[in-house]
Amino acid sequence: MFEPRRFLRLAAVHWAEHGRSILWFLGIGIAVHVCVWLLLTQGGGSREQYSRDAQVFVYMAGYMLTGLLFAGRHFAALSERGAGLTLLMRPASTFEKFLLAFLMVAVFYPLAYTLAFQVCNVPAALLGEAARDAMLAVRGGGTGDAPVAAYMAMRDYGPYLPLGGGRGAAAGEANLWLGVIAMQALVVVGTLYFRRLAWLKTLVALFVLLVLVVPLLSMLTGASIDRLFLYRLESAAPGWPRAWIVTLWVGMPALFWASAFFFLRERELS
Amino acid sequence: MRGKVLVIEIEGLGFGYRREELYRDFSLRLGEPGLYGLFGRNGSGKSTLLKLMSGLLFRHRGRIRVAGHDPQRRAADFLAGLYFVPEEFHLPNLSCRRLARLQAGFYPRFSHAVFDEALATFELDPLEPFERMSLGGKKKAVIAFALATLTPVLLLDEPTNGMDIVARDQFRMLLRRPEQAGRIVLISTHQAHDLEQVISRVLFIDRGRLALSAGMDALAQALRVGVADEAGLAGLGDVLYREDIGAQTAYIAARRDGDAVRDVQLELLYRGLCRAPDGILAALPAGEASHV
Repeated sequence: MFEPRRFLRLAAVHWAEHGRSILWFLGIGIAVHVCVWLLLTQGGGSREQYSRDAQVFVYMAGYMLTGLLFAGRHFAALSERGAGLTLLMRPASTFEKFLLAFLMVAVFYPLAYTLAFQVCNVPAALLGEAARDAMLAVRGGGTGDAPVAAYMAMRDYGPYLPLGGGRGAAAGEANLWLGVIAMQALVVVGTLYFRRLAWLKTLVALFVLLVLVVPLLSMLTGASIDRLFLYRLESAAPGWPRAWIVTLWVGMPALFWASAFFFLRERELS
Repeated sequence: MRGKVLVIEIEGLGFGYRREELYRDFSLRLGEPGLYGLFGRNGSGKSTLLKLMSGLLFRHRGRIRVAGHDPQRRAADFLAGLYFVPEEFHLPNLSCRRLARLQAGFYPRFSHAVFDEALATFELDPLEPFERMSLGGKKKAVIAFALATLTPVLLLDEPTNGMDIVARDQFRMLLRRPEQAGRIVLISTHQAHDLEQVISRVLFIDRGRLALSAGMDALAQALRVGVADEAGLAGLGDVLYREDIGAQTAYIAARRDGDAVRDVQLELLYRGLCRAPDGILAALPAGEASHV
């Protein structure tokens, strides 16, 4: 079922075939990040807008969006007969193919995304910090607006580093990671399940699922929707034990990924 | 077949697409290494059969074993022992050399010498990326790799599509190489003429059943295939199938004692089996044909 040498060979082949497109994907992500920075800072003229909060927003929104796109690409070959056949007929076990998908989507991509994010983020954040210092120097020196200076002084600046913001921030990031992993698993399931227009159908299915399931769970548990799905790991919703929240956040992605394995195993190609 | 190691064994296969039943109680047993030609009309299910053998499609009923494996489990060992070249194939943007370096390890019997020889025969540059090759070039590269895997089972679906006449000759030459003699090579094709000098056995599928499974020698012993004018036809006796070619007529007749044994023209046999199967099948010895 699992043979390390064969798995490494499978990974090497995957990288040889898709490495270039993955690098392109990350490169386009960096270019989009630069555009977002330009939009936020009004063409670079208001660099102080790129505070730590803005960075966190860009990081998380970017990760959610591109993480789902990246997940949808892994088995996209199955929508083409020739490429799908190559993928399914490669001499490796279904578990090895599944494990490679999981590692690429849920482990490699967050790391690669975080590194790529910093390519634009670090200089942009340093520019933002310098702009803030310059503004404070002018306004704090009595020649500017004192309330604005006080507001600026309260905001955090400098490069945002995931998992570098203390326990509270790390819990929020873990929430994000687990949530995106669960959504990625659903996207992978969609690309395995649907034969044609897999992406579009997956999006529709995800939307329907969320529209139906979220209110239902909210009704059953009595928890508000935001508490149920956006609550942080370190603080359980009132009336629910912490274990439930942890189980929900860890169990759901695990369940979705397990279903992806079975969908891969049962995938046919006509 | 009793007593032989059955490499491909299909019993009571049932399969269809939605409401259309393609196979009902289909059986096939192949044990001897050799080159098998799989023929049948459009939509008869040749490609589907190859996909069922490869585990790309799952049977609805019956049993399929390929080299001792249930294909639909797609076990790694099974996939390492079978190579399938589909009609619509995909090649990553690599070169032949890089492809072999990366993927040869998946196939325990892969021969770099056979691969290099096949590339040389097909006049392919091992370092040229696939994206720069023509469709025919890519097809030749895929076939070269498939031949070099030396898997016990090789399935080829319309392998000569996209190849020019010279490449088809080269393909036939490579199929005759001794390295290929130890494996089962099952070739599905409409280009019967491409194969008549290389295949050892003809399989013909009609209406979801194996209508014919006959060795080329047995066909040559049982049938007389040729071209004659009206006077010549009159002396042939039992003509099973005929078609006019200008002033002459191509025919398939039952071979009589004393008639010379000649090679069977597969294209004519193919047409005959499509249009008048009953008479031809009846002329074959028991065990070589099954009526649909």
